Amino acid sequence: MSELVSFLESTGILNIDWRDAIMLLVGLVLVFLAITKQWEPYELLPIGLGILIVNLPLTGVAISPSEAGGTQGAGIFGVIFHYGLSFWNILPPVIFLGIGALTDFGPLISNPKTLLLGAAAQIGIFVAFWGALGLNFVAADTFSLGEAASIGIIGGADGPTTIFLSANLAPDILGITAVIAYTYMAAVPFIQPPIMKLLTTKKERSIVMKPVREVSKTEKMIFPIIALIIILLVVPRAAPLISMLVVGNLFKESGVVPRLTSAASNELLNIATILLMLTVGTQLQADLVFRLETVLILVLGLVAFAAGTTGGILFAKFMNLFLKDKINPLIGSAGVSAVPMAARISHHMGQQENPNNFLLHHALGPNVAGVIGSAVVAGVFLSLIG
Amino acid sequence: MKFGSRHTISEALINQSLITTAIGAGTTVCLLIILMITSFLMGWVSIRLADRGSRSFQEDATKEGDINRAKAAVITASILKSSEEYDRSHSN
Repeated sequence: MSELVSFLESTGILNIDWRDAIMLLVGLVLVFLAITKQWEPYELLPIGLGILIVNLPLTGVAISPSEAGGTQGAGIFGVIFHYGLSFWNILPPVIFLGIGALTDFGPLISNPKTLLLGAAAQIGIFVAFWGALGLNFVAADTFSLGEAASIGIIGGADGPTTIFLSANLAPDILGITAVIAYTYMAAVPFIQPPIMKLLTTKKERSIVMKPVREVSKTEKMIFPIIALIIILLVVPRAAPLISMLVVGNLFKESGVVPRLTSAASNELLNIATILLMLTVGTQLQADLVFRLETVLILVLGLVAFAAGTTGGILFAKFMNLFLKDKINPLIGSAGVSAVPMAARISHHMGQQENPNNFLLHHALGPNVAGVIGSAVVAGVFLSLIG
Repeated sequence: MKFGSRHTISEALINQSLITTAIGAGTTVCLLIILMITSFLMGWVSIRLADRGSRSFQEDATKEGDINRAKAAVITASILKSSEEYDRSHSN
């Protein structure tokens, strides 16, 4: 009889509480949205499944390796989280390699002004950074400088960069910042459009931009090399991200290593995405989510995204005061990274006003600039705080 | 996290945050401006090279055209000449 009781006590049924149940529901909703509505399925499906798995009681899948016991007793996702994200921090650079192999710097080179929009949209990072620090006025020791930087970088709308920085500066909140960054990235189609509509007039949204020149293959190969040298000479700590981005891009643009390009942009990127997204999902454990700290980071992350979007749009409007060939302010919001989702939203918003307006190519310029910009900010944070 | 009473951030923390913000934002903006100038220069050089290339191509094409016309003239002349000689030799 005692065996039966101890068996029953070891089952999840007797150990589930209301917080686990809520998280299970959240996981199921994400899985449902990913499958039926096809909302960001590559992110939401594995994240939702991760939430579902980790919130079933007593599975122990998210237990991280301990210093004493090593990997003995650690769970599968705990091991991936520890070595892939927090300790070796290998997954973010691998993802940057894949992103590099998929990135086209052409729109950026053909319209260099858009680099300024990528810079302006980084304001979200600093707004959230100061917001996190400002909370120390309300409650003592809310967030340290490193934690504030890790929260701020969520505004860069770049999951790998957020993980990269948090792992170095604030490993304790890495799981939460990663989840929030990816959740908001998936939610960009809901966060950005209202802000874009609010800050632009119908006339501005209807601006048709001048077609850009065609960029030669040589330019596409020279630009990333120059960017690599210049950025890493100034911010060497951004090397893991920027160097992998450039390596992947040169694989693609050189055209001489199609197998490596394919491996970086398909197999490696897909494997890294599976591991990363599932692990990020498994960080959403009930006891971690139902904390005031998490709610505050959630709010600050939203503020960061909104401020970044606002910064990009307003700066585009400011640029139009001086430009002969006006730019559509909608492409300013793409400066927050979230490649290529943010660029697609700019395009769709433009088409709602004028179905013949094709903004996608133009919006990819600030979008790529945003990736570079947020990686640079992360490098500077690491240099100064790390 | 302690709520309830009025709290302050240490001056050192504020100073470090201000420095971090100034250097972070400044570096990002400066680097992106440098990259923007680089892209402008690359575009300028590329357009110049393309112009020069197309001009020399046109020049080459013109030269080639002249040579072809000259060849055609020589061939025509030699045909005409040979046909005149043929006519002369076969005239009775």
